[in-house]
Amino acid sequence: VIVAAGFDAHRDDPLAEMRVSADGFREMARRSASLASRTAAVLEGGYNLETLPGLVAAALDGFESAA
Amino acid sequence: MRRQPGYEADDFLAAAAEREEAAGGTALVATSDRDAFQLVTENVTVLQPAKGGPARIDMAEVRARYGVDPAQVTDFIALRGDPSDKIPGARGIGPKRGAELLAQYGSLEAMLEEGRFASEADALQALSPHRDDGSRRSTALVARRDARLGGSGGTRDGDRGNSCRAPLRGGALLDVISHPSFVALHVPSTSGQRRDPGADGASPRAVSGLRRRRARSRAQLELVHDPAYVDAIQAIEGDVWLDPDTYANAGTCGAACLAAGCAIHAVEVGGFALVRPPGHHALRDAAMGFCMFGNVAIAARHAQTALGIGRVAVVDFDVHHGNGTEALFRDDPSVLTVSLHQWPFWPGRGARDPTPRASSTCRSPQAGGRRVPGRVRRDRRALPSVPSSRNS
Repeated sequence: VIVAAGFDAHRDDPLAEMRVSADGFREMARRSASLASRTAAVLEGGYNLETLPGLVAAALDGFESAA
Repeated sequence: MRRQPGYEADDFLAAAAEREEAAGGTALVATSDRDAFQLVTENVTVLQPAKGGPARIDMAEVRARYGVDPAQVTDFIALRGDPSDKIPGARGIGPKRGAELLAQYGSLEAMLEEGRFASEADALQALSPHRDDGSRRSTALVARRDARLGGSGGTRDGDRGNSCRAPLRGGALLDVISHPSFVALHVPSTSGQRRDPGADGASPRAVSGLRRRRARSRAQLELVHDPAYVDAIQAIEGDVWLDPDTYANAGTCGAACLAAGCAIHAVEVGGFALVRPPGHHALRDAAMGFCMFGNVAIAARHAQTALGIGRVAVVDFDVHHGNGTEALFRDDPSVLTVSLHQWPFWPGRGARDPTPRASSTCRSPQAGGRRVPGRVRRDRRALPSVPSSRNS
C-alpha cells in the first residue's frame, strides 16, 4: 500500500471544509498501513502550515502503530 | 551546552540553522568544520575562522571553493576524501574530478546507479562516510538536523525519541525522507506551499544520508509521464502558471524530480516521503493543481518494475480527489486506487464511481463538514476493497 497522505481534510485547513482531527489522521494512517504487509507514504496536500507538522507526526504515529 | 548521544555539536548547529530558516529568518553558523558548508543556503551562511578575520561562506563561496552546490558538499567530500576525518575518498578521484562528476551526475547516488564506479569496492569506499551505523558516527558527513534543541518548537516532538528511525512494526523501521532544498527550489507566490513541511520541529526526523533523493533517470519519470511533458517541465526557465493553480519556476523541475525521487525511495525502504510539490493531480501529459509529476504513481510503478511487487494499492486521503493517480491506473487492474475526498469539490471528477468493481478505481466521496473518520468507519465500499488485492 502506498498512502497519498494529504492533510487538507483537517478542520483548520484553509482550502477545504472537512473536519478531521489529528487523531483522525492517526487512525486513517493506522488503518491504511494495516491493509498490507508493506507500506509507504508520500505527502500530498495540507496548507495550514501551523498545523501541518503536528498532523504529519500524528500520521507517523498511526503508521507505526499498525501492527 | 547540549548533549545527546550519537550527535555531534555540528548536528545541533544544523538543526538550529534549519529551524531559524524555517521560521523565516537567516542564520550565521560559526564553525571551523568545513563539513558545515553543506548547511549553506540562501539564508544560512557559515562563518569560518581564518587569518585576518572570519570568512563568510555563502552559496557562491561554496561553489567557488569546491565547484559544487552546498547540497552536494557531502558527496564531494566523500569522493575527494578528507584525511582529517579519516575519509579515504574514491580511488583516483580528486577535488577537480569530483566536482566534474557531481556536475554531470548530480549526486553520489546517481553515480552509483549509473555504474560510474569501477568496482563495487570503490563504490562502497566512496559511500562509507555516509553510513549511519553508529560506529562510524565520528566520520559521518551528513549533519543530523534532527538534533533536539531547547526552547519551543524543537522539542515538540521530543517525547517521540531522538531517533531518526522509528519502529514501524515487528522491528521494521519507518524512515522519514525529505530534503532541505524543497524550501528553496519551488517557492510559489501565493499558495500555502512555502515551507518544507518537515523542517519545523514536529517531524524533524529526516534521515541522515537519505536527503538527496532525486529521480535521476528520465526513465523513472517516464514510468507514468509522456517524454514530451517531462521535456516541457525541464524547460521551464521563468515564472509561469501551468494552470490557474499551478505556479512553476526554474527551480520547479528540480523540486519535482526530488519529490519523485523521495517517493521512490519511500517504497524502497518503507518510509514517509515529505515532499513538495505534491503529485496526485498530475496527469500523463499535464501539470494540475500544484502537481508536476505523479509522485505516488511513479513510486507505484517503481514498486512493480524494480521491486517485483505485483499488485499495489494506493490509498489517498487528501481532501481532494486523487484524479491524476486514478487516471494513470484506471485501466490497470494491478494498481488499485482508492480516494477519500470531499465531494462535491475541486477538481470536479470525484463523484462515486458508477462501476467501481469493474475497474481498479474506488472513490469514497464525503460531504463537506463531516467528520471523516466516523464516516469512513461506515463506508464499507472503500477500504475493505483493498485486502482483496493483497499480494504484497
